[in-house]
This record gives sequence, C-alpha cells and structure tokens, in this order.
Amino acid sequence: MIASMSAPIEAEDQRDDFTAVYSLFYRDVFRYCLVLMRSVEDAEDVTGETFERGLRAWRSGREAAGEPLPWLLLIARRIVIDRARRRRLLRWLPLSSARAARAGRPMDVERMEFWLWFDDLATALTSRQREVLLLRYQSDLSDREIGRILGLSEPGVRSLASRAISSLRQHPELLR
Amino acid sequence: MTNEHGDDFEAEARAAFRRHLKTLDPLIPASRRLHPVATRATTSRVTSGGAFRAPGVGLAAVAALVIVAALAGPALLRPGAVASGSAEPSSKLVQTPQSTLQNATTVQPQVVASFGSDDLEAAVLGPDGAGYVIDKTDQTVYRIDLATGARLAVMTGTPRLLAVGGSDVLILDDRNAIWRWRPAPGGAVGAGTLTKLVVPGSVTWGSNVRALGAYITNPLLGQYNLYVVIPGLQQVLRYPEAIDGSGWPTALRSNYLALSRDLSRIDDLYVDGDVYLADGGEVDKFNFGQELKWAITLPPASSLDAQAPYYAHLAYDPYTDMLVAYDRANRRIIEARKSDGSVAQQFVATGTAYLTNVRGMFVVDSRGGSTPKLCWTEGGNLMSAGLYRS
Repeated sequence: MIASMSAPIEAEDQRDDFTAVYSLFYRDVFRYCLVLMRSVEDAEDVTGETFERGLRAWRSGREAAGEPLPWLLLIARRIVIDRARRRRLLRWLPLSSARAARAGRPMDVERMEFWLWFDDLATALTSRQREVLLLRYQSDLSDREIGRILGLSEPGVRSLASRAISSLRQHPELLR
Repeated sequence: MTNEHGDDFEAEARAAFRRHLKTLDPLIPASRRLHPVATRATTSRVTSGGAFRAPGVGLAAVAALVIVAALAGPALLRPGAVASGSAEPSSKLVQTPQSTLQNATTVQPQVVASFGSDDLEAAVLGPDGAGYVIDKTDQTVYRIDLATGARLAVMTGTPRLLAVGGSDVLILDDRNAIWRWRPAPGGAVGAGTLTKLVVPGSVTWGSNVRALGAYITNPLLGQYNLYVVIPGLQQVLRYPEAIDGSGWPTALRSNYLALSRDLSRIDDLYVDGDVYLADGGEVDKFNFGQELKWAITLPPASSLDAQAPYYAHLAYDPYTDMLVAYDRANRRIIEARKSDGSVAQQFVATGTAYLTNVRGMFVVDSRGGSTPKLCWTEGGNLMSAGLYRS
C-alpha cells in the first residue's frame, strides 16, 4: 500500500531528531526556567543542562514516554530545585562565592513589567497556583502532564487551577 | 480548534498570561541549528564503549570531539550556542507511537515561516494561494507567502478561527464578529480589503464556537454557505449568504444537524457538501444533516500497531480528492477515501518531533508538479512537507 521513503531522507531525519526537539521546545523550557529563576544567565545554564540531560537520557533509551515538552520541563524543574538547594547551602559557608552572591540577587529583568505583574499575582495566588497556571497557559499542557512535572495527581492539579481561577475572579484587575 | 481548558474567564486569564509572558521573549536567545547535540551523542556512544564509528569521521577526529565536548560541557547545549563537529545520524529515533506504525511514508518537514516563540493556531489556504495563520500570541492573522515565507499582517484583534469561502478568508474573532479578507485579484501581492460582516444573532453563539467552515454554493457569484459549530445550541448552524454578499441574514439560517448533539468536543470541521466533524478524536460524516455510517478505517496492520487514533484536524487533498486528517495520538497524517473512509496513505515525520501538536493544516495542490504539499502550524512555525506518493 505505502512505500517507505528513500534512505537518504531517513538518514537526514535521524540526524535531526533531537535537534528538532530542541528547536521546537527550547523557548518553552527557557521561558519556564526564566520565570522560575529570574535570571537570564541561570535560565541559560539550566536550559542547557536540561537538554544535555535530556540528550543523555535519549541516547540511553530513557527518553520521554509521551510528549517531549513535559519531560523536558520536569528535568528543568529538578535542576532548578537542585540549584536552589545548593544555593541555600552556600549561604551557610563563611566565604560564599561572588557568583553565589550574585545569583541570589534579582537581575535587571526584575524591573521588567512581567515580574511586577507576576509578583502582583502573588497577592491572589500561591506559588503553586501560579506555576500551575504558568504551565497550563504557556504551553497548553494537560492536567496530567502538569501533575507529572509538579509531582501532583491530576485531580490535585485541577483543584489548584480551579482555586487559582476562582481567586483571579476576585481580582480581575490582575488580568490587565 | 480550542483546548480542553475553556470558559470565558479562563480564556481571559490565558490571554493575560500569554501577553505578559510575551514580554520575556526579547530575553530568549535566538535558535541556532544544534550540531552539538549530535556531537554529544557521539561522545556518549564512544565513552560508553560502544562500537560506534561516525560516518566519515576518523577515530582521531572522534577523540577530538570527545575532548572538545568534555571541555565545553553543557554550555554547548545552551540556546544559541554553536559548535562545530560532524553530526552523527542518530541510531535512535523518537520513541513515540509513530515509530511502530506500519507502511507509513516518512515526510520531511521544512519550516516555511517561523514566528519564534509565538503560538500559531488555525491555518488555511487562501484563495490567492497564500497561507493564512492566526498568531495567538500577538493576536494577529498573517498572510504567508508559501514560496518565500514573507508575511503580512492582515488583521489584528482577537482572531479565533479561520475558514475559506469562495474568494474570501473568513476570520471569527472573540466577539463572534466575522471579518472577511478578500485578496485583491491581480493586485499587488498581499493587497486586499478587510470588511466586518454582519451575522445577526451571532451574539447568541456564545463564547465557545468550536469550528467554522464554508462551502461554495454558487461559484459564478462566489457565494457560499457558512457553517458554525455551536456547542451551546448543540447544533451546526448553516447560513446561506445574502445575494448582495453583504452577510448571512438570520432569516435564512437553519440548523444543519437533523438531531442536536453534544458538540463540546469538536476540534475541526470540513464541508464539501457533506459535513465532516472531528469529534473527540473520531471523524463523523453527515449528509443533509443525517449522520452516516462512516468512519475512518485503518488497514489491519496499522490498527494493531498504533495507539487508538485521535483525529484533531481535517483538510482536503485536491490532488487525490481525499480527506486528510491529523492523528494526534500517533503523530501522523492520514488520507482517507471520502466514499468509505478507508485509509489510502499515512504519513509520519519519523525521527523528528514534528507532527506532535498540529494546530491547523491545509494541502496545497501542486500546479503543474506532481507532489502536493501539506502545510501546518506547529509551535511558532508554519511547516510544510511534500506528500510523496507510493
């Protein structure tokens, strides 16, 4: 019925497999990291590390079972959490590095309108609720996928989102 | 055409989030082709003792790549980072259901136009041979020249759905207003007029119109019927066009479906006299409002190997006169015969991540050529791929 394509095309496709994943999703991953970390440099680092770990897993057969984006966001989130823990530990050291001190400080982007708005949201939403809405609206992830990233059940995500929306209804000015 | 999370307020919240997130875009590094990915792949294979030998690359060169990759570390994989090195054709393909599909033709997706991190949605083939897409992020309808990728903003507002009727591109906005973009015949490229059309009673459609379609009824006058899928009414409303072309009078409106039904899961609509609805992953066919005993039927081998299909978008291939459907569950495009629904061809993008989340699509008939082209919106790209026939 249907013939396979010629070998050269297949080879070209194969070469581009992870590259295509990167091209499609690095913006989403970067944006997510940026929102979590509020630092362009850190977001770049984490995005790079995310794709590096992703590639390693990909090559060893531990890649995403479903869609690549939730899987990548999960990796990114774990890296962000690891870094936050490390940063907290570094603060206990008597001679913390300049980089660690710098990393703890908000960057210029802090002044951006987005952060002002995102912080305003905190008056109505918990950080978990903000993250659920961010994942839901940034990349159209399903509740199941969001649950996988945040380590929550699907009803848990739905409940968080529902409460977040209810809270926002009380503060429509936050959506301007 | 809409997603699973949707009411009025949530749509507003989504728009607000996306609008604000868009302000972060200047901070996102530009995309570059990621040769380092292949380099890293080479590294891991070599260091793990595999017998891999990159084609065309000697052992010394591979060793050099190992050193370079080890020194550079994750920085190589930073967005925007570029490194040199031979790319290895990966031996491992994307592990998605499509890799198990039988007898599927592999297509080679290419980017026609990229809108960066924007979200492109609906896509239609305009009467002028250009593609029209909705950029949800900046709430604009763009005309895209399929040969050059040149784009032109046609309408800015709150566009939601697109359809093509006769010589018009129809745009439904969030306020249920319908805008008509009519390309100027023989005029400069991209020239045309945008007119807001009157559809009395459109306020009663509610905020969740699921799909829009048109079917030409009088080719000489360029008249067409408008079809609107309205879950609130559990009906597909059909509006014959006024003779003067000024709009679609309510008096002529009729319910298309003989029996009202739940339309809350409609993803797409295609009209060719009969009506095809992509409803919750299945495609139903209607003739004079009556549902027919018709379904897309996969060949036995595909049925065994693939996941249960979820048909999310519909289009028409004028080259083969077949219905084209996007199966999201298996990341493939199928072509089905309109007569009995049997699948004649299926296409996958094996080895790439494309066809993961198609938001709109159409087929461009090759004029004078032999290969029609499928165009679709995915992420921030308008993609295309030749539908090579076996």
